[in-house]
Amino acid sequence: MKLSTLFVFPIIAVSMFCVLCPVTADSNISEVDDLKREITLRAPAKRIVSLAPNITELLFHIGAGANIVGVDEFSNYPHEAKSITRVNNHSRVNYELILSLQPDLVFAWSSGNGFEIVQRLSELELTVFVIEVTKLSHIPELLKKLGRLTDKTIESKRIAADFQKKLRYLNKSHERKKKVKTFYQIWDDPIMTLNGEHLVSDVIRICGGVNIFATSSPLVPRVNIETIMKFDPEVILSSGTQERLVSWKKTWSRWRNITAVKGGHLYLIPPDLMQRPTYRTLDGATYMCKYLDRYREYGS
Amino acid sequence: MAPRELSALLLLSLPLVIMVGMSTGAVKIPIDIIIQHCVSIFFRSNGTDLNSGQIEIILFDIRLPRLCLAFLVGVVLAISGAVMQGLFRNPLAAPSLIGVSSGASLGASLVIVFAGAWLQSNSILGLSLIATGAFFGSLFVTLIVYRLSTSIFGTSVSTMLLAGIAVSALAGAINSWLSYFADNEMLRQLSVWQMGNLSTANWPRVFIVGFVGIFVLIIFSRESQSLNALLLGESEARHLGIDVQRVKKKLILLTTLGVGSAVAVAGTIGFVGLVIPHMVRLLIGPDHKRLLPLSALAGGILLLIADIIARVIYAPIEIPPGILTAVLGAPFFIILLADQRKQI
Repeated sequence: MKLSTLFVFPIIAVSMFCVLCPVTADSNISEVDDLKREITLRAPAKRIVSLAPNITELLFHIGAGANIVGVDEFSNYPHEAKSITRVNNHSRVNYELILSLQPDLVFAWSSGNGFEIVQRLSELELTVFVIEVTKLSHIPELLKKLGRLTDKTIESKRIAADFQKKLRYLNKSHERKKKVKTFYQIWDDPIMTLNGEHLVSDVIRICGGVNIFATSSPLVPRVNIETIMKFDPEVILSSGTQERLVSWKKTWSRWRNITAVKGGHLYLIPPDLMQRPTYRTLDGATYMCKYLDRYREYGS
Repeated sequence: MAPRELSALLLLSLPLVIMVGMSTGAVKIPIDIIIQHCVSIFFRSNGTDLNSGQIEIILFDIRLPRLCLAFLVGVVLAISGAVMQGLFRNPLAAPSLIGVSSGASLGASLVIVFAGAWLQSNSILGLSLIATGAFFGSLFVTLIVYRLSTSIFGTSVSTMLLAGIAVSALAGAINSWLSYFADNEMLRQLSVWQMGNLSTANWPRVFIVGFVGIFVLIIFSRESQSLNALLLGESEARHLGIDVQRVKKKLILLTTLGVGSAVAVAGTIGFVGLVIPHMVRLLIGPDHKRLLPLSALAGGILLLIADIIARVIYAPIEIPPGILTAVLGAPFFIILLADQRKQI
């Protein structure tokens, strides 16, 4: 490289920056998404597409629901979300439909939607904001970001503070309690669980529990009954409705030498409260903490 | 390798592999403790304290049924593959070619999508509804393939292969189509089922596959002479006094029965049915009298080893055994093929 080019580059860069600075200071909104990219909007988003049910839910929560023009097929909460145009299903995104909705912002969920979709949407010159929540403590910050992007700053700040307060309370009231060995089951045949990277594991930790498969390597490991016996969980949790409870407990009753089975500490948590990172995850966490407390109280 | 050497090798390694399988896992149990427990099972003398109760459960309610199931599924898959290849005189023939696997997938998907609400609590003889659906799916699809290729002149092998491909493609397409009507839960159920799984083995499943396996094994062995004759060609076999049509019908039905039940309890596990018979044939020659039992034994042992590794390699988690059957078997098969080329 010539010496002169070495000088020219910074000069151009600085001058470009100065051209842009008055505009940024004016009305642009800049936020960093979970892929660490800086996303800039000229004005608060008025036409939003959400590709994940939890993002839809969070947007409704801060009062930006009316600005959503398209959602993914699983967005079913709150009730109003059900009537919004569906733009994708489990394997495909309808790009034409998304373009025809003329969104000014698309929210995607990186591990759920996949990076390919994010890339394709960016190629179509859409603004994509990628979200990935793995800790409950990320949610307040996310709420505030969503608020700034959609011009619901005040409301989102209030909700974020509220969330923070409740989370801190849960944390405080459980951090000194006895640690409870916990197994969270997401699949029966083969048995599958979640590792420490998942939000559910964070909730277990907050309630003073220890996810027995926290250090296993894939996010959703397959495990076998023998390993569970070896780790001997004191509480076994799963997601599901009450109809499932009887048959699920019956399946476990074969293994009476597991502490949780012997003591009858098998509990179900409604799936939407636990596996989707939203405001309602706090309700899921409350359930979880209650169940772990029940073990502490009655033991095996 | 002489057939006698191979059978000695396999028969010696079987108990060894079973011992290794019994003693490895999340909980380490030394061989002498295992023997002690086996003995106490027979005599039921001493009262069981809690700790030995746990070991007993792990040995006889978790590990042993799983080992038996892996072995039996391997046996059924390998012997069915050997029979298919003999019957069709086609090295690529495998049960999947005549629609058994795609039929099983289709049956499972239909049950998952249309009987979703029933899935949680219902089971027949320890088999889930999904497994039952898979079994009847494979039976149904194979029967269609068979009907399509059978005329008054008998069953045409080439038509059967083509019909198998066509009907499998159709079943596969319906399968993918169904996934658009499935909700989140059903989709997961579909994909998990198709990965294959031995971890929830229990005694009822072992008995089902064991019963079917022994039945199929006996009848297949009795037909080994006819299969040998068929190697010469269909008309030659007919001139040797074999009722070719009857043999075909019987073997196809039994293969479907065997593979259908194996797939129903363990999901789709590839490679064993296709490659084990070839490996055995390369080692001992094409005589079905020896090929069938040795393929069965080799298939059972391969799946046993694959499943043991699948559950200990990344302990405490496990991986689908189908990955390992291919990883273990394929290189060995490639070496055999390369060897054979040198000899020619």
